[in-house]
Amino acid sequence: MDWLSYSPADLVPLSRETWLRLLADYNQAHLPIVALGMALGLLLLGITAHATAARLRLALGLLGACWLWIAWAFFHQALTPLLWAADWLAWGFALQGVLLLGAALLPMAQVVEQRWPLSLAWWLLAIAVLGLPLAGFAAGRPWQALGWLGTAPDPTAVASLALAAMAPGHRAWLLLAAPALWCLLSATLLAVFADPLWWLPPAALALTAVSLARRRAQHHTK
Amino acid sequence: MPGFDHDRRRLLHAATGLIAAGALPRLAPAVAGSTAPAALTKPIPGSGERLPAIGMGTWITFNVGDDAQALAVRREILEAFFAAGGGMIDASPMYGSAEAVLGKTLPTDATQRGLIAATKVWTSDGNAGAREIAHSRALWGLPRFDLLQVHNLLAWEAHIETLKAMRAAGEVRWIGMTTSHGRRHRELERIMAREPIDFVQLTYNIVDRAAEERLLPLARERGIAVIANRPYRRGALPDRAAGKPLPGWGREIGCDTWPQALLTFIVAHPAVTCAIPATSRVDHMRENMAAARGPLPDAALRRRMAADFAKL
Repeated sequence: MDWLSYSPADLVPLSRETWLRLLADYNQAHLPIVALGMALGLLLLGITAHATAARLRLALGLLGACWLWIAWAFFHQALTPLLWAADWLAWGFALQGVLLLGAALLPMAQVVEQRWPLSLAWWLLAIAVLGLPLAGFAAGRPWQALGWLGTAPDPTAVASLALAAMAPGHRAWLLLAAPALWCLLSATLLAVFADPLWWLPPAALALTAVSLARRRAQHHTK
Repeated sequence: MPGFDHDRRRLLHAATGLIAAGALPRLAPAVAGSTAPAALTKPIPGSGERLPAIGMGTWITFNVGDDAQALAVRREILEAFFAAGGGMIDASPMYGSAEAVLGKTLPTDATQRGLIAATKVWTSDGNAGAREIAHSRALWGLPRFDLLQVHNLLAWEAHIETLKAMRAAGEVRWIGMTTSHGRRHRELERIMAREPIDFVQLTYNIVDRAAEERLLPLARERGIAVIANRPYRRGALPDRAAGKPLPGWGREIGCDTWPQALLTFIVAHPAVTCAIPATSRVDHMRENMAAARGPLPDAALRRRMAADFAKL
């Protein structure tokens, strides 16, 4: 098939209105889990404010469980009837969940030492926990359709970028791929919907790149 | 009067007489109790059977899942469609929940009211076509489809054999092939020249007119009915005309709005059998269905319409 001749709009069979209603219905159907995810976001902010290897491993494990939940409940159960590619996305999210859980189980000597990149990663996590939902509300999304860390893909992916940026060595790069890909996909989806916040996931990706580049530069100047 | 298709006008007068005489009962509900002209129908070349020229697409607009409020609106849209004499409804397994939504929202007497049910085969597995069609049939809640098409030529060599066998067995009335966005016209042309298909679906509107060069003439030559998709370019064409007055010729062809003129332009092409605009609004459905009820523009007026639209 001549996939290259297709624009993203040709492949997305739903409207922004339907997408937001789906999010609202999903939030309502899983209200206790959504509340748990919100609390988890605050917990992650707390335990990574003074990140240690043990705390970061705990955070990675918790986030891994979130990816598995989103794979099952959001993509497989809620989105599959509306989007032909939803099950592929579910498998991608499940794989990332397993990766995060694996990263949590493996020993970790220390978190990133450089203060500035670590601080930037923490602020990125804060954007995931609070910034994205608030930006959605400010942009006119109904509050019922806001996405929250733990249960919605965007804030969970951005939080994963933040935690990956805190992780040392190759582990960071391994954990970055899926959330980075989702950020690009999400931006494409939102752009197709003409959603004014389409730029937020790539902006988060850019902040992650800055944090990683800065830490690499500081590492080489040591 | 210059600019009118006189054959078309004569046909309308004749049809009006036939309706009055009760010879065309399927068209009667569209005009019962009103002075509105009947919905335009065009012949399917292979069978001579007439098809309402304005049909309905479901891309995006019917992919609403289980949302009760959205389903209620779709029921209203379908009611408006059939009340105005609509016939063909086109969907695909690629359109998410659109087929399931049709199954939940089609009136129970849709077939009696003139439903022409059209869907597509959309799987790269050449052996899975029949299974997918059976699933689609269950979703729509219909005993059989009127038209089955291969979606965007995907694995068409295998699927066309399945469809031909189904047509021979009386499990479907017509079979066809689809493309969109002007893609793969050369391959489609080869298929049209070689395969015994009844319908072809392609993108044709006042701006996207590549099909005029070879595909539409070939369709006439081979006796293949043509469904025009993306008549509004997913809303971009009406958006472009929004707030702009319709030139004087609009009144001559019985159109009040640019969207009606855009649809009339399409179905006025002699090779086009049906256009399938999609909408999620009842008022837009009514507006669509009011198109092509006046005299159809001839070739000269169609050129003028395209030129006027290009200036917007």
